[in-house]
Amino acid sequence: MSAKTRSARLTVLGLTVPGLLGLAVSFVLPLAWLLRMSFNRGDSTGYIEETFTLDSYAQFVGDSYYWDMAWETTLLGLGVTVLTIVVSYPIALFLVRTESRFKGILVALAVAPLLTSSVVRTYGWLVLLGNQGVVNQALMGAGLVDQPLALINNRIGVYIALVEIMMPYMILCLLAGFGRFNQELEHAAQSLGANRWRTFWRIVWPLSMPGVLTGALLVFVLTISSFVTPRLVGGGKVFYLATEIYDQATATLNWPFAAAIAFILLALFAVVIVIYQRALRRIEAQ
Amino acid sequence: MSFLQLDDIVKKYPGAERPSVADFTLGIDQGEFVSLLGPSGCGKTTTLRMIAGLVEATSGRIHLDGKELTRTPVHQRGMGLVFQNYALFPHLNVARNVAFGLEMRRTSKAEAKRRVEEALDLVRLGHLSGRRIKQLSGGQQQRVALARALVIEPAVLLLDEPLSNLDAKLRDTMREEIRSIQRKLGITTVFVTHDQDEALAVSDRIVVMSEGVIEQVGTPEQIYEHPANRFVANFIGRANLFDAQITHTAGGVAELDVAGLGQMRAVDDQGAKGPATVLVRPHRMQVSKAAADDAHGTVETVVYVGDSIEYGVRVGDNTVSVQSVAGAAERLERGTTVRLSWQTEDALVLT
Ligand SMILES: Nc1ncnc2c1ncn2[C@@H]1O[C@H](COP(=O)(O)OP(=O)(O)OP(=O)(O)O)[C@@H](O)[C@H]1O
Ligand SMILES: [Mg+2]
Repeated sequence: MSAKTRSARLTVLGLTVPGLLGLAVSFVLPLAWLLRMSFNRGDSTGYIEETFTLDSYAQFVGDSYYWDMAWETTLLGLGVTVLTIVVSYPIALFLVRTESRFKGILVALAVAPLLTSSVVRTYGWLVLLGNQGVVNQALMGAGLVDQPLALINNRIGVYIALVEIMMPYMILCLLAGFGRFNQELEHAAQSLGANRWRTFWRIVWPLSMPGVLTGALLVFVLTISSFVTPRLVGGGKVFYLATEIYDQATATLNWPFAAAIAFILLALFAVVIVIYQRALRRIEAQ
Repeated sequence: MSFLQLDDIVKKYPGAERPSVADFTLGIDQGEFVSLLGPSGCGKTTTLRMIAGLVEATSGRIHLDGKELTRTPVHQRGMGLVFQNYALFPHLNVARNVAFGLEMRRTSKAEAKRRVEEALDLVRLGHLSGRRIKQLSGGQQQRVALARALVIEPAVLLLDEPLSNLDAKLRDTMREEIRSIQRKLGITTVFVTHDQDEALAVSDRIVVMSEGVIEQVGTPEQIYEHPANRFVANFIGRANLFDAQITHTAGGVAELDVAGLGQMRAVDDQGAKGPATVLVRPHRMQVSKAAADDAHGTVETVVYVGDSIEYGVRVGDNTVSVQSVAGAAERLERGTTVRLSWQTEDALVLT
């Protein structure tokens, strides 16, 4: 190894160590502590017995109630991800294509919601979707429905609010992922006989796949770990893994069980990340 | 009506003050290789894209083989396009790129395979059909782009500065290759370039454009030897342009009073009168040593370029370029006072 590459390696090391240390202290250690906690025995009195048992995991696996909850959580993750792609894609495509001088401003506007906390935006949706909310007032005013639709305190509301909250993330990922795309490729496809529809499916969509995948991963993970929105819009009537962790930790005071659910959620993340990696490698191998 | 006929084509982009292309009328015969040549921004790409259908003409009409296609959408025009940046599909390999147009036409698998192989062999890339686009050199990408456009057997092949991203040597090879493929297939071709050497070397006819209008249409020889005006003379090859006053014209030869040079003669096709411009190419100028009181000007620069020597001669406020064959005559030093002259048939009166 030459002196040059050795000093380059030292530089890399020097630059990464602080970050790695920070990560260790703020992420790995608490996680290890949480893992240890999940093997303790707890009960609903809040008493925690220091031991090493798989009781908490067994309780989860042995109860179809929790299986349903895990299924609903996965479904929420998938559903919100797909819906977010569907509504964000046209916006991102427009932003990539536009030659407007306001392009910069338009992009900023599309991601501006990130400037407000998702708690605030969740309250916004409560106001919009409630029985007296704008949406129901408009529907009834237009005579489309006689009674207000139940849009909050149920799963529908959670989906609607989460999709909107996730859109800016998805749009950002899509914009970044359009790197290999330029409009000349569409022109080339058209000159070779492809109409708009085929140009989209054969050229635009495949080229946007890296962005779609990254966005999907991010949105899925953010969705299944989100707590505030399902909690508030769900009105405590719908249950997902994240809300259950909160309930177990704060209401039931069964910390070992809460920790075990947290690790089951983490396992779900791991599965999704493996799928993402596989998919990404497949597109890149093309 | 020619095979590809453009009539009074105008393109004014929204918001633009002037049209980018104006009153463009041109007929191109089947199998002809026509270049659109002009400085940057003169409307070459715009014109090509109107033929392709990628840009909609503001007014005017385009006919192909007698059928109007002014309003035909791009994907139904069946023209082969090669873009400046090649626009190859990065997610498809070489063979799938070339096959794309055939897939759109729902050509059978077997036939598509055969034609893709043929097209790749034509551009001598048969051995790279499985490669990814990323793994190709610029010249190879260029060939793939050409194969992809040719495989659909287009009525017209449109090339927009296809060589401008290649290095000088490769550019020369590729232009010969494009030309020989074009001859072999007999395909009608419109070739956009801002490189006059390129246009002169490959074209059957050249269309010289400036600021959206056609300045001259002609064979390379016509354009070079008989430029229609000052713009064309200046743009094609190097040119000395002299202000002159025509004193007498007879039998296609004008007697002139040329500023700084005195009485001279030049070919005059048009029988012009009064003030005129005279064109003499640098290599047709002759220069000889003269006594100061008899001289036209002074040698200001001497540049030795191998086979020839280029002199810059100061005449009044202007600099005249003279190119003489090295070794053929006595080499002149800077500061030498000289006389300039030319053969009558080497000078042309422009209007
Ligand atoms: N999409 C567009 N919108 C507005 N104006 C345009 C557009 N495309 C081109 N123009 C203008 O039209 C004129 C002609 O452009 P065009 O691209 O046809 O030139 P060109 O001859 O191909 O130049 P170059 O050699 O630089 O490629 C230019 O003044 C250009 O600014
Ligand atoms: Mg151009």
